Amino acid sequence: MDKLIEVKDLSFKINDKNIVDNLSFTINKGEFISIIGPNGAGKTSLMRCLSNNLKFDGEVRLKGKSIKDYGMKEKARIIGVVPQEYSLPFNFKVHDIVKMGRNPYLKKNQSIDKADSNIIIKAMQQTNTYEYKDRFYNSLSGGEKQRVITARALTQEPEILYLDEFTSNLDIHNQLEIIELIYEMNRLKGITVLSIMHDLNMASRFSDRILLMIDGKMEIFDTPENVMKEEILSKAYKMEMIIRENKVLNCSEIVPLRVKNKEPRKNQRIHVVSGGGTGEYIIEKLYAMGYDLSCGILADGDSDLAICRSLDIDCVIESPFSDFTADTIRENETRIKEADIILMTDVPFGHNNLVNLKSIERINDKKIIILHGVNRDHVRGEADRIIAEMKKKDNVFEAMNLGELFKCF
Amino acid sequence: MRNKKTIIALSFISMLGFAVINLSIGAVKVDFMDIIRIIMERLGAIPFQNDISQSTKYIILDVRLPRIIASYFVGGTLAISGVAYQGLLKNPMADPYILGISSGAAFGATISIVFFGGIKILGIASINLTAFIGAVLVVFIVYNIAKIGNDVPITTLLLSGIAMSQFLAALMAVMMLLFGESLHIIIHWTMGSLSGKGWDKVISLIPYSLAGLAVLLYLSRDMDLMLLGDENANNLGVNSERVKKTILFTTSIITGAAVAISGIIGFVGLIVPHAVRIFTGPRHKILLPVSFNAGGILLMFCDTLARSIITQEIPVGIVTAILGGPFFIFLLYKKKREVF
Repeated sequence: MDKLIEVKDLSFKINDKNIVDNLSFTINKGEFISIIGPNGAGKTSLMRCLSNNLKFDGEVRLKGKSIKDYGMKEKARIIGVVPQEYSLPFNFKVHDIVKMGRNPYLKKNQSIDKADSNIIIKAMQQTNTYEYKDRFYNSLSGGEKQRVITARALTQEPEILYLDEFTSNLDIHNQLEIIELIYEMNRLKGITVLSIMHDLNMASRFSDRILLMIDGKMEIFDTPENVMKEEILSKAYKMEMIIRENKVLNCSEIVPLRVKNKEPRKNQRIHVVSGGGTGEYIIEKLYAMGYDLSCGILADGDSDLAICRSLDIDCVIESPFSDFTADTIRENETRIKEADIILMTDVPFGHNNLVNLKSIERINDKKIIILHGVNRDHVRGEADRIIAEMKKKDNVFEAMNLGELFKCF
Repeated sequence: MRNKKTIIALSFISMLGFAVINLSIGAVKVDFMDIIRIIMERLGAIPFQNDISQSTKYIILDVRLPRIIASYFVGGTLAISGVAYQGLLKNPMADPYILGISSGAAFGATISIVFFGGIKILGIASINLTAFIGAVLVVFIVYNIAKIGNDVPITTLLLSGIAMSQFLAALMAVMMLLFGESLHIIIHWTMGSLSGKGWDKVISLIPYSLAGLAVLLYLSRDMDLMLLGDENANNLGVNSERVKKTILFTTSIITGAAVAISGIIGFVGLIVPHAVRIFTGPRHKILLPVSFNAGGILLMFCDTLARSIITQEIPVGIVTAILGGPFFIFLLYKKKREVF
């Protein structure tokens, strides 16, 4: 693969503090690279070093030549920078702004020619800005401005685009539209992309590789699958999160949970009877409230299991689409015995998991909370009958909704 | 493109028309045709015109013409300096004096008035010389205070300019208190006047003025790009620190040269760029020449008023402020939505 940017021992200091701390990596031609990391990790500084806008130590080579040896215009013919949209002190027309992207190709007093005009028009058409080319730039919305600035960078006909949080001020429509455009430029035109992203899901979805920075250092620079890991990201962002597979987009996806530390441990154990995603919310919430939890029996692949795994909750697991074996049932009953409270979500019961209900049917010495559910019986009335019997007992409470449910704790 | 050339051409034609009108106005009224004949005669295009008196010829050629030309170039220079500063500092409130040029010049002039009186050094009146030196020196000091490493951030530049201005104004006030007998001359100088400017003054200004215009025009596209911010300009291939230094150097020299002969004439450098921008847009390639011309015409017109409204001459700085203020407020009110 062609190396486009080679970085060796790159450091940037402000008052002896390393903002960018000894980074070495290579970016190949045609890659879509995202830089992620918490605020103040040095992402923007890194990018400004890579465009030679900061005085750094170490070496940055662009197409084999040190970036410090490039002339301003020569560099601007290779690197196009898309900053976050901004306002201007005076009112230029959109067309004038886009036209500025041709500056690297023009001598001081040279005007644009027909070929330049065509490039400008094409960039405006690609970014859907041609229709408002005669409007004043400052009168545009944030999304429109961002598209104009993107058009200007495309007019530079760069080999690599640097994007610095270019979607931060945009709504989801405009965000996706701009990223799709950049992605298209990357895949169809082979323009290399280096993008600082705050939206980790976007980074995961579009990048070939992700560079994670923490405190100026490069934590990891790898494929999205290898970077989007809970142990890596929760350390970087100092928070709890769940990483799960987004099956629609076929990429890893982050679900941020909380930054605040959860409540102190309560030394009470709750066994949760759930399945099919009915327990995700409840389990997470109880976990945050500081309860010890166990869960079971869940079939492997159940979405409740995913959250249990990411929260490290004790689970009894059975292979999917098979009857629960005597061993797992016994294991589950041990968990039930150890628990102080038993909670049953509005999980539907079929032949497989009916045993979960049967395991708690005859418990009389523990508080049992049942969340009211409808159409939960798929075993010809047997589950409904058991639940109705249970509800007659003193130790069983029925919560009609989640609000009532959490009032029991 | 044609549109741009038309605007520039129209503004120059109107300048010539204005010049002739202004030549005719004054304590001695001179007919338009006579003015043209006097100028043609001097240029050698027509023979000696013996029906026009020598004194009229003198008034037109040696009193009014140099003064009008001086006012044109002073106005033009202040206007393009204003354009350059507003662009450079990315601040619509900037004018040529914002970095302390005016107080530097005034301080220099004050020293000359108080200590040297009417001495001439190398054929140049000391007051013009010290004013010029004061102006350029102040920008040099301000620039070096503001400099961080190799870069000159706008904020520190503005702040050190303002601080320096205030400090020099205070020093000047002290000198005015100590040397009360010069008070009147100092105040009159700081209000700005083109009274009694002969050909020597015109000749000392024109080369600076035209060279300045040429340099700024040469950098016009870089100046457009620098409105996007230094780093964005860098990323589009502009060496913004170098352009910034060149512009600062150029504008301080030409403003210094203008102020040295005219004193401090306010408002032209602030309002002309804005007024012209309303018609031409912010692109410097057209903004600069049209502003030069508009600034020249405005000052020419104001100076004619200054010397002809009442028998006593009014400092032209007062006229520009009295006329320019309301005119600008009117434009601002009408066009604020489009321009800002």
